[in-house]
Amino acid sequence: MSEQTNEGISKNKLKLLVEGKLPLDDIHALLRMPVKDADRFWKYLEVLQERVTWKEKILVRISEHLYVVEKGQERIVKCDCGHEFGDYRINWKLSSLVYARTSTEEFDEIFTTQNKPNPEIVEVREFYCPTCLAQLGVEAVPAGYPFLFEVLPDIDTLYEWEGKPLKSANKDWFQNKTATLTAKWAKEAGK
Amino acid sequence: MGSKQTTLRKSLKGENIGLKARIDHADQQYKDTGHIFGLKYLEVLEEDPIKFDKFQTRLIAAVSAARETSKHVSGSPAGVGMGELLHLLALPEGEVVASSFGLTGHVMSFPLIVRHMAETGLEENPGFRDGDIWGTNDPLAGGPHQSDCYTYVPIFYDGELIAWAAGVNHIADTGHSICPGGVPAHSPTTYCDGFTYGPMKIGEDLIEYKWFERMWMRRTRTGTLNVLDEKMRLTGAIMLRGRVMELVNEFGLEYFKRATREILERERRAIERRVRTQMVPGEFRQSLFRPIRQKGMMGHLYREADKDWIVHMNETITIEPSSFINIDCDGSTTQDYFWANGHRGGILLGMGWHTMAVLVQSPLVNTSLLRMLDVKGPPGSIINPTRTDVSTCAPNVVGTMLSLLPNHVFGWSYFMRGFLEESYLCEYVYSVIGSGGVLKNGIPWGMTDFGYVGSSPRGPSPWRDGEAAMVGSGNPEADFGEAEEWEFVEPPLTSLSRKLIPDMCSHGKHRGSIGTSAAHLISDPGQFLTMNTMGISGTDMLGCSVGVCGGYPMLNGYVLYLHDTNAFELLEQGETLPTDFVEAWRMIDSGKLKVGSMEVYGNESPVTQLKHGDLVFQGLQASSAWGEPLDREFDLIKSDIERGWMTPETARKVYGAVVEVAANGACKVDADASAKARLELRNRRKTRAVPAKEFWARERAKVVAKDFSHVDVANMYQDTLRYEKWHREFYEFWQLSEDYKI
Ligand SMILES: [Zn+2]
Repeated sequence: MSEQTNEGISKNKLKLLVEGKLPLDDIHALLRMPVKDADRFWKYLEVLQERVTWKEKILVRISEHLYVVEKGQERIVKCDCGHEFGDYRINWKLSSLVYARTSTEEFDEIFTTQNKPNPEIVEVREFYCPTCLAQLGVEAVPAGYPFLFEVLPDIDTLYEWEGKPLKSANKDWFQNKTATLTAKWAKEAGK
Repeated sequence: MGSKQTTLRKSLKGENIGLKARIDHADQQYKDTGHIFGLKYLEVLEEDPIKFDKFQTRLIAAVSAARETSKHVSGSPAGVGMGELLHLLALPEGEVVASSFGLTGHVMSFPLIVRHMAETGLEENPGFRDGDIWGTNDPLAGGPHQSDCYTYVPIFYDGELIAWAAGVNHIADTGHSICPGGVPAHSPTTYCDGFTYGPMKIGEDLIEYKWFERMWMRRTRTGTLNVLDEKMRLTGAIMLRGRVMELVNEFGLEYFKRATREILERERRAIERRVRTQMVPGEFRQSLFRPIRQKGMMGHLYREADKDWIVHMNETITIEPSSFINIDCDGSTTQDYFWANGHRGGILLGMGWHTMAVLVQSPLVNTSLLRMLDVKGPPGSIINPTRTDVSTCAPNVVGTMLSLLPNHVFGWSYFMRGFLEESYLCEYVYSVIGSGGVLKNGIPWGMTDFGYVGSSPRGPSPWRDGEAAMVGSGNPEADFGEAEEWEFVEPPLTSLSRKLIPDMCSHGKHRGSIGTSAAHLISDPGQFLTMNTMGISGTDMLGCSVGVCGGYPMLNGYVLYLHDTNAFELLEQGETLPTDFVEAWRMIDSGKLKVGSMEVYGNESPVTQLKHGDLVFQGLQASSAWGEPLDREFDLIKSDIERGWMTPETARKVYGAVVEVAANGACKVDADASAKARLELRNRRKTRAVPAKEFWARERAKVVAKDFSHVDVANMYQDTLRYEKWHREFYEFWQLSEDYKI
């Protein structure tokens, strides 16, 4: 019944869980915990921070490879390889490399049975990190569809929920600023 | 009227207000305090927690006993084999306090039915009396779709309405005018929707009116089964009513009233706590698309429905600082003459039964989730239909599809917060086969095959692959693959297989579940036979727009009808028939399987005529993947090949894994060759991709020129951009001026 204490998971076990190496029995024990460990988020940040080579403080993980980190006065999206995508309030996809599959031949490379999408009505966009070329996101959308801004975390509320508000907390942090970049691009193009 | 008024006052004695006022009052209490029924303190719980839990357990036992006993009253395979049945106990206001397992999502829609009754004055005419039996299946009154029929009785104690006891199940056939079965893929107007009734009084003194039985026999294809199902629902409701009376006698009326309300508030707090301590708040953008093709099919009969659509289901999911989950569907397609109108009962049902598996995770199924989550859409859109002539046959399907996206978000959010053990992609991707016809002896029949409803894949986690045929989050008590039982009531459909289809999966670091196959041989169908299918996974456009963390999104479903085949000749020659569509294609290509003509569809196939010797193959349930495919561990790839779930060709092509398979089946990964292959795949990305800014400029030019690859895509934008938020997002992203019109 040791898993019923509030101590929860050790940092070492959490590291194994993050790496996908924690035995299933241990994971089931975690699932059975009636009360989760209260410091999980902080342990998680420690584990994540130790996995990257750069020094900026991770505020929150937003996907397998991407983190929102604190850099000076800024909060930016950073890849585990070190690539920086800029202000996290602007959809990071706008700073990635994009490849859109638009033909049956291109679909054949990734859809491996007959039930493939129809390239007349849908394209499959892949978003890569410009530095490490990891596939960070995939969209299956019709032509002309705006990039979906998958995650805009409300970081200040998160830290408030954790009982340790950030010093830099400010209402302005939780807003979507993607349009500022597209407006800039349109202006540059002389629209 | 005078005597009815008297009955009403008497029935709600102690409160001395009507049902409508009670509901308004409860809403106001929640609004003012943030607590259900304004319960800031859980007094009876705190006073004696053990007594409280005992009381709650007794309620759960009562609803479970009602379900488990009554299902044997029915002879319908839906009720007995699949357990497509739920019994629930609700407060007078409609809030569900306890429910059995089974179709758990109904705890979200039953409150709407009670509200509808209150709003339409049914408490005055005909009024609610002890011993009354009520029923409905109308989505305009809160039901999820015509197939889900509710039978419920008011529970009076000492003359006061204290609760409702209800049973609901999915019936085999609704009498839909176009599609036999109960989940039609094509329904041009609500006047094709089949037998639609209530909410109305269908009996008194706990005996159903004779005429109602006749209605089932007269208006549906499976009258006998539907009458038996009606008796099943009622039996459970009456049992439950009896148990509740006993409980009130034992615990006292005041305790019953207070404790049932505290149960709801306690469960609401549990959800709130879970969100607050295990998820990351913020805004998540998701969407999905579903083509619907009716052009050329509705022809002269339903000209208004003779169209094709790409249906857009658009969602902005916000986990708010209060822990409330707000799902804004602005930008979704406009209501129309198709199945995709999402009336509220169906939307909340879909949201409820799947979300419950991710967010509530408790045997204590109740309505509290309804106070922690809402789905909104502009009036006139498919999320909020306003017209009364559009079809109401599949709001449950709309709701289930919509629910995929918040469930992705919840899985993702657990991962962001560090609770990886809780994180998975919950995708309930059912499909149903509707079939019907006339047997050799002239007997007409119709049926819904639930074989694909009772089981669903479990999507992947950040730490493991998706797995096929694992759960039925919509019906946790179901058993997968009741093939033998279904054959009994679908005489011409011989089941050939239930199996996994190698290579049919969404690829990623943790791949989605392997797709499953159902194959049927048509044998001696009598005078005529038709089949239609309807399902949740993608059709031609994948199941959702966003793949998670670099994995590919859910695959399309697939239905293949092969007409005029040599199947029986092959059987006579001792040959085996294909067991999935991949094998079928291989046998067609090799010339062994001869086919006169064929039809290929995604999830929904229109009513298709079938003859002796025709073959039908379905493939679906390949869930979304998690993470980047090139991060997949070689050991996992090897194990997939060893199990026959993946071919070495796919491993090489998608994952850059070079795996040698020995004659005895043993697999070995060539580490050096694999490292090289992965590097090549990575480098290929570099040569093909362009900076987003360049992509944006190129695509923007096309948007400005209204060059949208297909007229259905242009029509989708033209329709949906009328909605304000989506309009703003689209115009800002592409930097369009307001005089731009599609
Ligand atoms: Zn990178």
